[in-house]
Order: sequence, then structure tokens, then C-alpha cells
Amino acid sequence: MRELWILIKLQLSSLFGINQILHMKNAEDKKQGKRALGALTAMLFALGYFSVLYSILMAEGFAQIGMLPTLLGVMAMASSLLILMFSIFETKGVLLGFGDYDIVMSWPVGVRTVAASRVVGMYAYNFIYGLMLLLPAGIVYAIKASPALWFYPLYLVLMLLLPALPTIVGALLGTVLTIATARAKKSSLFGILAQFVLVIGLMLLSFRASTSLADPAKMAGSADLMAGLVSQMYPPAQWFQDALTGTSLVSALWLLLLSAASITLLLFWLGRSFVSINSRLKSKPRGETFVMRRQARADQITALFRREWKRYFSSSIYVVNTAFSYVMLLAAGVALLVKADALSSMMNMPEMEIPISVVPFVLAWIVSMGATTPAAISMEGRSLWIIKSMPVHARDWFASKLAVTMVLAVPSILVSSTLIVMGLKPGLLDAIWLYLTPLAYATAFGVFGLWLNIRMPRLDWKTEAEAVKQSGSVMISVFTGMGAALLPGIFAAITGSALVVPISLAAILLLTLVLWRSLMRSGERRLLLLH
Amino acid sequence: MLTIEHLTKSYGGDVKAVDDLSLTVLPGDIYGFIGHNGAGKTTTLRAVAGILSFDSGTIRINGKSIAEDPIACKREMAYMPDNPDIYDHLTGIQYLNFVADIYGVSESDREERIKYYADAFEMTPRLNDLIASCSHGMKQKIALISALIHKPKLLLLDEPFVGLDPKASHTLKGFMTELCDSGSAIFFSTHVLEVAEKLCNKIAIITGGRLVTAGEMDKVKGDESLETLFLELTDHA
Repeated sequence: MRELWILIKLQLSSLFGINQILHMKNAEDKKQGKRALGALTAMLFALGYFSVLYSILMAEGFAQIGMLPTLLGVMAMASSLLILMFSIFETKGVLLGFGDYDIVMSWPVGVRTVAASRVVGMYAYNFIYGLMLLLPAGIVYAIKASPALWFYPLYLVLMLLLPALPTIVGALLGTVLTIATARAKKSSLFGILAQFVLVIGLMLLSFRASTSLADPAKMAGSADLMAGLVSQMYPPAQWFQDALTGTSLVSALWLLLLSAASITLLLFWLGRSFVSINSRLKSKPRGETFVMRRQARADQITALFRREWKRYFSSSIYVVNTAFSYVMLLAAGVALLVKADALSSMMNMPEMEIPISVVPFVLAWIVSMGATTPAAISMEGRSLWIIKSMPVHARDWFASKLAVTMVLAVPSILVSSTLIVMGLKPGLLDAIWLYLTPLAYATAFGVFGLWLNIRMPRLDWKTEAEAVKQSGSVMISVFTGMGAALLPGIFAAITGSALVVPISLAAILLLTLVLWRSLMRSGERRLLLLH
Repeated sequence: MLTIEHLTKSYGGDVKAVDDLSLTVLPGDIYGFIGHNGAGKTTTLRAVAGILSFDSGTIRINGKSIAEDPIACKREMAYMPDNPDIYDHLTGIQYLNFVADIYGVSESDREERIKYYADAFEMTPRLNDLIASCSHGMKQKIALISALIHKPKLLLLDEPFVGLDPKASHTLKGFMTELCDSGSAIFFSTHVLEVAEKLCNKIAIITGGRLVTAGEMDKVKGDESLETLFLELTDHA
């Protein structure tokens, strides 16, 4: 037990890189660390804010039809889905194939203890993700329903239990995926495809649930259907709701039993297979014997781009996290070609006619999430010395990273916008905006990502997930993209003004120029300071 | 080839990692840089390589300042850190071609040099393997080949012999001598004093960020062994 606690402490010390920030000695590192910590705090607040807003809106809706407790079930289901997705991505790196495997396994500590410490590490991350949805929901519910005093301690306990099942299921799916792709020759490609299939499947599932929940006819017409939806789709969420609303305290027991059983099962399985799976992951296939043939020469810019392109596709988590936006973009294009009113139903507003001037902003929002640059500098990790010691201008290095985003974004935008133009048949000017707006946002967020990442890089990562998913620059970029696209979009929807698009475009282009100039001015200096 | 004048670097606070360090490396020199762990060797090498900023002093490579014209300086040199973390996602040959592209090495030169160095390090058959699958020593050999591929005028090596097998160490010593015979210079840190004594024509000893002695090997050590001199100087510093 003592060993487990020591290993857990070691695991938790790397949580969001906070320990490194606290113990930094170098003045520049401290500055960067404080910036990263500030960004992380701001993002947590932003997430909390959105979560509170979402909870309030849902609580209002549910209260109107006398189903306030359903808020708890729905949020429990949403947080479980979020945790499931994160767990799938985090399995490789946090649970298996982690950087310090060799040294940890050389210590006189049992395999089960090591495995348990990794599970706890994963659980800790997932608990925090879950907390961001469940805490605001609990507070909103408590304000509206004024529950008895026992609600509060029970809520804390159940919040702690809820991540168990999705963590375990995610870890199992992630493990199967990791093993299946580890020995494949094109392992990262298989990994990318498999993760895409999984994520699309989960998205479709949640989309189905959210459209049902947001359908006013269903909501007003059938209270039973609503109540049954949570229990049908994810019974533990229903138990969570029932236990907290006093309907059934046995439900709390069920949740406890299920959590304990699933963790025991995972630990038992990991205890048996931990070493063999990790050994399998550590052994890499050998390439064919090399025979010297003619070696082609490329110029510096091409070489930098090729390296960046290969780096991007070598990481399945990096690809899935960003290229998913382009898949969504193409899906939106196809949907609007096939069914012109698909936008209204996609946005859960079937009764509302969405003006054409909003569509460019929806596309802009999607492409802003696809920028690869907010993590591109962090992904250099411990190999950063190579670029720093080479005769390479920072501007070329930045350009190669931006080029990856643009090569992914431009064809997707052109295809998607063409499909949308064919489907919606807008006027000439609106058609032009449909192309220009997402292109401008893709460029802007490509540049913005670099601007952010050079200021708050995460180079000391042990797993790629830390650079791709848990860094301040990525979170800020995603939320800024959301705000920068949705605010003018909402404004365009409300006012119906044709001027919103050109004015927003001009602002975005101006901002891009300012950011690019700032990058060019301070890029060399900032690159030198990174280590 | 390399002139360092009054180099000072601190990482915040009063303690200086490198304090007022000056030395000169001439063409043809194999210049050994020795000191305790944390003495300031890596900091100095990283500053010379242009990957670490410094507080004061000047570093010139072939007359050009690393602070003012880093790209021109970097074109003429190569650096290999003590722990060569190179791109895991590339194969050995892809990495070497990437480095050759950055330094503008012609097709014929790169083919000839890769073959020459990789054969000598017994790495040629493994150049199609992903770097992720290579051992520490193999990664180090690839990093060494990449450092030699553009025939640098100044080669900076941080603990180059750590992790190499005896045969590869011997091969590397041969390459170092060969490079310096052709007019280039090498400035490298090492803890292996026997190697430094046999290989280097010049030596510098650093302790607590300050240079305690520097110059031609014979003059610096006199009749003593390098080990005795090192212990004397560092114990009394």
C-alpha cells in the first residue's frame, strides 16, 4: 500500500505539469510556467462558465415540464461519454507504453501496484474532466431543488464513482486498439482509422441522444420517453439520478458495486497482462535491410514541410484531435447538399430558418478547431535541439507548421463549400463568403496557434496526449475559435445583416497580419528561449 | 575557428552556470573540455551551438557572432548533445536526408558520406528502421553521422563516447582526427580523461562555471597525468 501511494504521488505530481511549474528555477521557464498555469486556470473557468450556462438552460427546460432531476441524469451521461472518449485516447501513454515504464518496472514493486497507480492517474484526469460538467450541474440543481442536507456528501461520493465505468471501458477499448495497431507496419495509420471509427460512432450516439433531448415535441409531449431515455442509453446515469433524488438509495449501492467490480476487473486483467502488453508495445518492427540507392535532394522549405507532415501523421492522437474537424466539414457539406435544411436540424433548431449568412461562420468554427499549430511546437518535445542547432530561420520553421494546417484545411474547405453552394444555391456574394470565411479562419487560427504555442509550449511531455489535449495553447485556441466564429454568427442570425460577414472577415484578416508580424518579430528570440 | 570571450550565463538567481569564460579553438584543434557534473560544460556548448541565450560575452565562429548572425554560424558547425533525442517517427535514412537537405548537401556527397560513415559504424543495414526502434547507441551513431554529413568546420560534441560500444568509440576517434586533419576543429566535453589525454591537442578544465586552466595539452599538464591535474585543480578550486 505504501508503494502504491508513492507511485500515485509520482503520477499525480505530473498532473497538468503543475509540479514542474512550482519547481522551476530558470526565470524564463518560470514566466512561461506562470503563463501556462494562468491559461489553464482561465480555460477551466471558461469551461466551467459554459458548463454552468448549459446546466442553467437545461435546468430551466426540464423544470418547465416538471423533470428537473433529469438534469442530473443527462449530465452524468454526458460526462461519462466525455470520459470514455478521453480514456480511449489516453490509454496509450498513460496506462500503457508510458515513457518511464522501464524505470518504474525495475523498482521492487509488484506489477499490480504499478498497474493500479497508472489506473489512478488516469482516473484522476478523468475525475477532473467529469467534475467540469457535474459540479455546475449539481450546484444548479441544488439551487433550484433545495435538496436535503444528505444530497451534498452523496453527490461528492457519486461524482467520485461515476468515472469508473467509462474509464474502464475506455481503457479496454484503448488497449484493444493499441495492441491491434502496435505491430502493424502502418501502425499509426491503423490507429488513426480505428480511432476515427470509434469517435464517429460515439458522436453519432451522442448526437442521437442530444437531438432527442432537444426536440421540443418529444420534450413536451412525452415525459415518460424523456425519463426513459437516460436509463435506456446509460443505466448508471439513471442510478446516479435516482440515488441523488432520493427515488432509490439502492441505486447508489448499484453504482458503488459496479464501480468497484469494474476497477477490480481491470486491475485483475492488467495484473496478468500488463508486462506482456507493454513488452509488445516496446518492441518495434525492424525495417527492410537498407541498401544505398540514389538519395533525392530537396530544398530546405520542402524538407521542413515533409518532416512536419510525417510528424503529424505519426501521431494518431494528434491526427484524430485535429483532422476530425475536416471530416465534420465534409460531412456538413454532404449533409447540406443532400438536404438543404440539414443545418437547422444539425443545430437542434428545426423550427428556425437559419439565414445563409450564418453558414460561413459555422464552417469557420469547424475549421478553427482543426488547426494543428496550437500543439505543433509542443510536439517537438525533447528533439527541439535539432531545429535550434540547424541553420533554419524561425519563420521557415513556423511556415512549415502552418503549411500542414493549410494543406489539410484548403482542400476540405474547397470541397465542402462547393457541396454547400450546390445544395443551398446562394447568390454570388454569399457563395464567395462561403469559401473566403472558412479559408480566412483556417489561416487565422493556424497563425494564432503558433503565436500561442511559442508562448506556452509543453515540451516536457511523456505522452503525446499531454501536448495535444492537455496544453493551455490548444484549449485557448479551441475556445477562441468558438467565440470568434459563433459571436458574429449569432449576430448575423439576429440582425440578418449582410455586412456581418465582410466586417468579420476584415477583422480576422487584420488580426492574422498582426499575429504573423508579431511572430516574425519575436520568433527567433522566443525559439532561442525554448528548451 | 571559435572564439569565446567573457561568456557568462546564469539561470536566474546569483549562481552563474558559466562565469567569464574565454577560450579560442583554432582550425585543426581537437579541444577537450572537462569538468565535474554541473561545472558548466553543457551550458557552454549549448551557448556556442546557438541553442541557448547567454547573459554577456561574445561567441564568434569564423569571425561571425552567434548572437548576431546565428544562421551563418550554424551553417559552419554541427552539434550533438549528450542525449541525442532524434526524431522517433523517421527512419535513419529519412533523418539523414532531412539533415542533408537542411545543410544543402548534394546528392552525390550525401550518398558517399552516408555510406562511408554508416558502413564504418556498422549502421547501413539498419538505416530503414524507425529511429524509435533503435537502441541508445544506434541513435547516437545516427546523430554522429548527421553531424558529419555536411563536413562542418566546427564540430561540437557533448560527451560523445558515452553509450558507444568500444569499436564505435574507436571509429569515432578516427573520424575526429580525420576531420581535424582536413582543417576543421572539434570542441567536445568528456569525462573520459584517458581519451582526452590521447586524442586532444588542447584542453580546458572548468569548475563551478569558471575556467581554471586552458591551453595546449603538453603545457597544461606538464609531466603529470591529466587525471592528477584534474583532481588537483578541481579539488582546490
